[in-house]
Amino acid sequence: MSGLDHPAVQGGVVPLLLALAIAAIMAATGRVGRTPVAWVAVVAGYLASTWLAAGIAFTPLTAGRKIVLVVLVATIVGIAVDLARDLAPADSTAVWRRLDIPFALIAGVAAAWTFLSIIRQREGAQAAGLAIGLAVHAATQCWLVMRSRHDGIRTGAIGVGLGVATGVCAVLSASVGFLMAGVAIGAGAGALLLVQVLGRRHLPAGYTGSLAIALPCALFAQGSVLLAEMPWYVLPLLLVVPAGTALVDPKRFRPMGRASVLVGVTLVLALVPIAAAWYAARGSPP
Amino acid sequence: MKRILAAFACAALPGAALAAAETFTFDPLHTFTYFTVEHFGLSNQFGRFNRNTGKVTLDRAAKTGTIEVTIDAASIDTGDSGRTRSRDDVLRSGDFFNAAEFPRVTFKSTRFAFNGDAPSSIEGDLALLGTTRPVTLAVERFRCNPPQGTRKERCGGNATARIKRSDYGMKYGIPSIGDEVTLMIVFEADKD
Repeated sequence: MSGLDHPAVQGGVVPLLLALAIAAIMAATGRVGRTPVAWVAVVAGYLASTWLAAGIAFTPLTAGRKIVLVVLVATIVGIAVDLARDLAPADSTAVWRRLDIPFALIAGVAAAWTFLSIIRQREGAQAAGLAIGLAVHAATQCWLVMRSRHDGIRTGAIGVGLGVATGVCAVLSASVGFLMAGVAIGAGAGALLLVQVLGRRHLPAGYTGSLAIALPCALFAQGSVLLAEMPWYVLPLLLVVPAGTALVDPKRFRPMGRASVLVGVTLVLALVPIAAAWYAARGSPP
Repeated sequence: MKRILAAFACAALPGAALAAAETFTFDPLHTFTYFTVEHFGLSNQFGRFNRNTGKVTLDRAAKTGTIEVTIDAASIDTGDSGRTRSRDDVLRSGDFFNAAEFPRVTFKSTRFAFNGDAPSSIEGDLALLGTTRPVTLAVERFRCNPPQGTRKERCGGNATARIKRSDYGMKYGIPSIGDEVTLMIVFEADKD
């Protein structure tokens, strides 16, 4: 077993280092460095983790592979919108603000599509209820994270808390794969925080960063419910992380202190869904 | 008269052909699919699927046959089902057998090879995790007991195959948990 085969390296170390390198390079790259495009590093870290752990393929298109596909498409759309916004006239701000809800709704539809193979196994109202439930959860989580897209430190902190919460809930629900995926998103978001704090520059997450955090974490959590043993009520409890973080605004702190406070808050909030998943597992991870 | 006899003979031929092919249905209490895989290079760990269904048809005169096995993926049992979030739960999850999305593993034969009166190997297609690949089962034993009293003829045996789980997209944990998996289908089936 080589070092790269260790789950902690695949899920934590590689995504962190890769995201750190990509974000640092992109943040220092002229005009692009002032856009949220550097947040693509979060997705790069997740993809590297997935590639090392299970490989990346798209046939047959299983739910797990659809997650990778949806995350890729969401990232491309996020980059396109963020770059277009950067080039758009200053008086068009209202147009971009209105994209939150359409993007959240599309994320909801994407979640239902991702798990269509499982929805199809249910009948009538049960199938409709499952599809609507998944869509509402993903849409809500994306909307909550997109609300903080102008604040890179807050989005980074939410990414750390949400990634850790999603990953720990997954492993408490018998899914090691989603543990690694969740932690990879958390590590990538942590890398973006480090670049902002240590580099003393603000990197707004935009749609690239907020979708790169919110959508995969929503899909990992839903996958832990449908493909593993996570109880469904952990899904709404995971929303506590982005929703609760929005209530805290430590403006008087410097970036390092602000990032520390917000990460601390998200990790405390992460204990809520983790406690529910732990209780369901009776404290017995696999 | 000759025409009538010829017509009867023609009508009887397909029936004679059908009569030569015998169908057997698996006894679920004596049919299991076992698997073994290397664990951290230390040991070979065993597990089995508890729910297996299927049929065998045999034409011993023509030395042909078919076999269809359907395995309930959620019935995996590695001896660790007594606690919540057990190893069996992990194996049922999307990391391994993805039983929610792919509830069934199937094997359908495409060709039987005989050694004397008994099948010696069975070529077929194994469908696992949405991927279907050819697999050859080596039949290590195959015997039939004649009907006794009210009991019908009963056949049974063991068949083994080796697969690479990565060929089916099950890559999690390689190489700590081995890529090569040995499957053993242990079956007994009653004549219909």
